[in-house]
Order: sequence, then C-alpha cells, then structure tokens
Amino acid sequence: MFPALAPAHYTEAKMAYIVQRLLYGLVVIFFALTLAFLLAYVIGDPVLMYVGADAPAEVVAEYRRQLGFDRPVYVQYLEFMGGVLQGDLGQSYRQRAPVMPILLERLGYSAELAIPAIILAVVVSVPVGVLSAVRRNSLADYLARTGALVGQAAPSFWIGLMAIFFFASHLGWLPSSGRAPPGSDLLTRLSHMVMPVVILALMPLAYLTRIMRSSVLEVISEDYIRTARAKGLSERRVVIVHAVRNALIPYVTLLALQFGWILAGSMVIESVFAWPGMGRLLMDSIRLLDIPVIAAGLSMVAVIFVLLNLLADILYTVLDPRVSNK
Amino acid sequence: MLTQLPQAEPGTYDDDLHQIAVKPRGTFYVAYKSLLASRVATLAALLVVTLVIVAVFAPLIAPHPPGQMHLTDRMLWPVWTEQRSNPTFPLGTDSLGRDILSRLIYASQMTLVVAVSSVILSGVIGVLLGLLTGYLGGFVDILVMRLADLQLAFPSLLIGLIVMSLLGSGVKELIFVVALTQWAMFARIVRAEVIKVRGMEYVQAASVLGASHLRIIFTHVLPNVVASLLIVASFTLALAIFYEAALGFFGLGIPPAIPTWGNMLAEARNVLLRNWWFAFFPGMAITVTILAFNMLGDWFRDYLDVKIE
Repeated sequence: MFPALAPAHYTEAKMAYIVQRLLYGLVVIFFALTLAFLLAYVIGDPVLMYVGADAPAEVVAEYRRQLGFDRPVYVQYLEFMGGVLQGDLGQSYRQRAPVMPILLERLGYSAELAIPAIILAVVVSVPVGVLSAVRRNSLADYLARTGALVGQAAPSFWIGLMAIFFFASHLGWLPSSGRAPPGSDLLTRLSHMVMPVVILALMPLAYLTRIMRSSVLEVISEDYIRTARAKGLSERRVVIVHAVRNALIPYVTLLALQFGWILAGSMVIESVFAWPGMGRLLMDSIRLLDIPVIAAGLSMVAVIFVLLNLLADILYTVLDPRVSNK
Repeated sequence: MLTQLPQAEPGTYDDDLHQIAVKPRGTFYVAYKSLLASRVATLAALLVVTLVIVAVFAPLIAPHPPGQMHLTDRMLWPVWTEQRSNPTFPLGTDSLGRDILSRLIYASQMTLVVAVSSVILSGVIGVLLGLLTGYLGGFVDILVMRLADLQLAFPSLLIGLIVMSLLGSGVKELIFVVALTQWAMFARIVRAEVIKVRGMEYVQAASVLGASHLRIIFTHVLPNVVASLLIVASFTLALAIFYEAALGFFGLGIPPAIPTWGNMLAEARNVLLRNWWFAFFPGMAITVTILAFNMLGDWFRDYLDVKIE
C-alpha cells in the first residue's frame, strides 16, 4: 500500500527517535504506576475497605499489621512496584481476588466492542472524508461536515439512551443491554453488539472524517498533484493513488490515538449498555471505591495509551520519510 | 494591532488631507464583520447569546419554578403529541410532575456557571504555570511539563470520574476537576510563546533597556497568545458542559437536588421506558450548546489562522 522504503531511510536518527519515544513511554508508565500507588495505598485506606468504617480500632490495627500496611510507605511502594513487574496488581477489595485476571478477562470483552467500532469508523470515515474533500461545497460535503460536527457534540451516553428507547423499547428490534450469554448463536451475539459498537464508533468517526477531509484538501493543492493532472492521469487515479495515499499519513497517525479515545468512550458506553468490559468494571469500581481495581485499571490504561502513542510515532516516521530529516 | 488615529479637528488640516485620512477599523469591528460573513459562526454566536439570555432571565422566562411538583400532572407528554398533555407544560412533566421546560431553563444557569468558572480557573492556572515554566526553565520546567504530558496521556474523563468519586460531588469539585484536566492545554501554549519570544531580539533589547519581567509579559508575551487562548477557551467551555453532563449522568456530578442537564438525564435513565421526552430535551440542550461552542472555536481558529496541536 505504501511505497517500499529503501533501507537507507532507516537512518540512525530515526531509530534514535523511536528509542527516545520508547524510553519516554516507560517514564510515563512509571509515573502512572506511582500515581496508582498513591491513589490506592496513601489516599484510600485499604484496611477500612476490608473491615468496614465502623470497626473497632484494635481490629483495624490487627488487620493493618496482618496485611502489612503498618510498614513505612516506601517499603510498600517498592513492594507494589515489585509486584507490578511480576504482573501482580494486588487484590480487589470487593471480589477478594487478584486484580490482574479479572482485568484481563474484562479487557477481552471490551475489545469485542472496541475493535469492530474502530473498523467501522475507518471504513466509513475514509470514503466520506475523501468524497467530502473532492466534492468540496457540494451537498454531500455539507451533509458530511454537519454530521461530523453534530457527532462530535452529541454526548454518546445520551445517544445510547435514545437508541435504547427507540430500537429496544419502542421497536423491539434489538436487545436493550448486556452481552449475549455464552453459547448463543451468532445472530444473537451480533444483535447485542450492534448498538454499543455503532455508538462507540460515532465520536472517532466524526473526528476521523474531519481529519481525512482536511488532510485530502491540504494534499490536493500540492505541486505533485498538479503534475499528476498535467501528465494526463484520470481524476480518479489522481485522487486515489496520489492524493489519498499521502493524505493517509496524518490520518493513520491520528487513528492510533483515536483508539485510545475509544477506550475512554467504552467506559461510558459499557455502562449505558451494561456490557461487562473493562470500562464498566472501572466505573463500578470507581463508584464502590474498589481502589486496587481503579489503580490497576489506571495503570492498564496508561500502558495501552503509551503503546498507542508509540505506535503512532513509529507509523509517522515509517510512513513519512521526511520526518527523519528533522 | 490597529489603533485609532487621532481625530482631525475641523479646519486645522488641509481639506485634501482630511479626506484621505480614513478612520481605520478596530480589531473587534473587523472580527465582528468576519463573524457575520460566516453563517455557521453567526448561528453559533446567536446560540451562545440566547443561552446567556435564557440563563440570566430564567425566572422571567420559565413558566414554573423548577422544583415545583404538580402531583396531578405527572408524566405529561409534550403538547404536540396525541397523548395526555397540558398546554402550560409545553415539553411535558417528569415523574414528579415538575415542568421539564422550566427545569431546562433553570439548568442553563448552572451550565454557564460551571463552564465559565472552569475556563477561568484552568486558564489562570495554565497561564501562570506556562509563564513560570517558560521563564524559569530548568527543573521547574521539566517537572511541570512532564506532569502536563502525563495528564494529557490519560483519557481526561477517567481522571475526572476518579477524582470526583474521591472528592464527593459538588459544584466547586466539578469546576476543580475540569480545571485539573484542562490546565495543561493553556500552560503548553503560553510556555511555547514565552520561549519563542524570550529569544527575540526586540525582547532582549527591551530587557537591556530595563523593562521588567512583568512588562515583557504584558506587552510582548500575552498579546501574542490571546488568539490561541481564546480557541482553547471555547473548546474548554464545550468540554466543561460535557463533563457536567457526563458526571451528572453517572451520579458523580452536581448534587441531584440542583436541576442540571446532566442530572435530568440521570433521572430520566432510571425511568426510561416509554417516557422518551425525559431524556430527549436535556440531551438536545447539551448537544446544541456544545455544538455552538465547538463551532465558535472552529471559527476562531480559521479566523485567527492559528494552529493548535
């Protein structure tokens, strides 16, 4: 799809840049973990969560000693960080079970919504954005731009509510919430996914359409497009081969970042549609102050964000040879 | 910046000269003309003005007090539907018999208070930190800017939800949370400008001539960032409104006794079976308001031709 890059393009400068971004990402993760620790063990009192707020003082003290919370904060901090390195993020207060397996299971459910949503956003935003740019100021462009503006303004939880009302309560076409029980047939499973996936896709869809449009508009005034037209290529070929391919460079970079926003949006959408993903787990934990789960979720989100940012950086350097000159 | 020429006194100037001296238009006049030239921006500005008027004159406009319950008129439908309705409640009533239109109107007050206070608080914190880090550089700069990076690395709604649940719900808390997630945007812009300006020859000259730091800040740094700050401010307004709605929806925003659009949605969520109008109108109010501020922000960006990352 993209021009094969000569090995010469992989200059040391480019590698150095990526390594620098990688190190920087590790620093962000380190800070996020520290923040998570502070949240879990310094601001929130884990012992009170175990014994209840009105337990007698001696019981609290006994639990504190047993669970090791009477030791200096830095010892607990080192232990927490050591645990993280071994993939241990502590115990959930509510479920009294290790956080990590719970989190990973829920993450899988979240991916069931997030991946189709991002695919949907791409499949729609690329052609619509290109059309909107090529037929600038046409009715189609006008509709696309209005749609994108409204899509960015309307809160997804409200659209979710109205969709549940209309498609589930009123028309009865789709189930109102939840993930299909295990062992259901494909159609049932899909019917549970339709509303959350589409609504989760709306926000990135609106944003990506705008990006695609402005990106194509920027490219289309470049000299090489004029050259391509001048040498007699068909308009279709000029647009698809020359304009869109170059316009995709900023698009792909921002796409990686949008995936992170889908992660945030899924907290809202999963709560509205009672989907048992990581977003809903986090929302429930926030409401119940199940702090180890919040801390672990925060760390997980940080890791995913850093990886996506890194991916965006790498894509950008690989796709656009000009970046390495900087 | 355009400044007004001294007004010519009649008779003191040569007549020809007097005729050429056209009064230059002020910055705001030019901006105003451009605003009117863009239909989208005009619409956005009209919506914002309407919102302000509605909020300020809420007691005069609203047909009923927002908390008044009409127990015999509960769950009335909007008047244009075929269902049970009452013309004094144009958009119907909620499950406690409170007029939805009146609640929408009063809720706009809280929306504006939260939005404007959040912008002011995050703007002040951001601008101060931006100036400080830009000027001092070194350790403070690294610390604050890494903090800003970290901040921007997380979905801000997640931070908002966690902090709100630890702090407890309330208006001040909500404003604090928005400022907490938005200061970094303001700080980055101001810091970049300080660093750019600090190296310029005219600023070094001003400094050599004995201009104080404050003078340099007010005459050389701030005028250059006003445009960018305005853009960030209008998007922050939209974001604050979204936050109020989202946190209210999850029961972590402003206490439920106060009518806000987010709280109305949260109440609607609990009873939504066929009472679609409970949720529809507050959602529309949120969408239209966010849309207006976003469109204004877009127009600012195009008009001032500023690039913001």
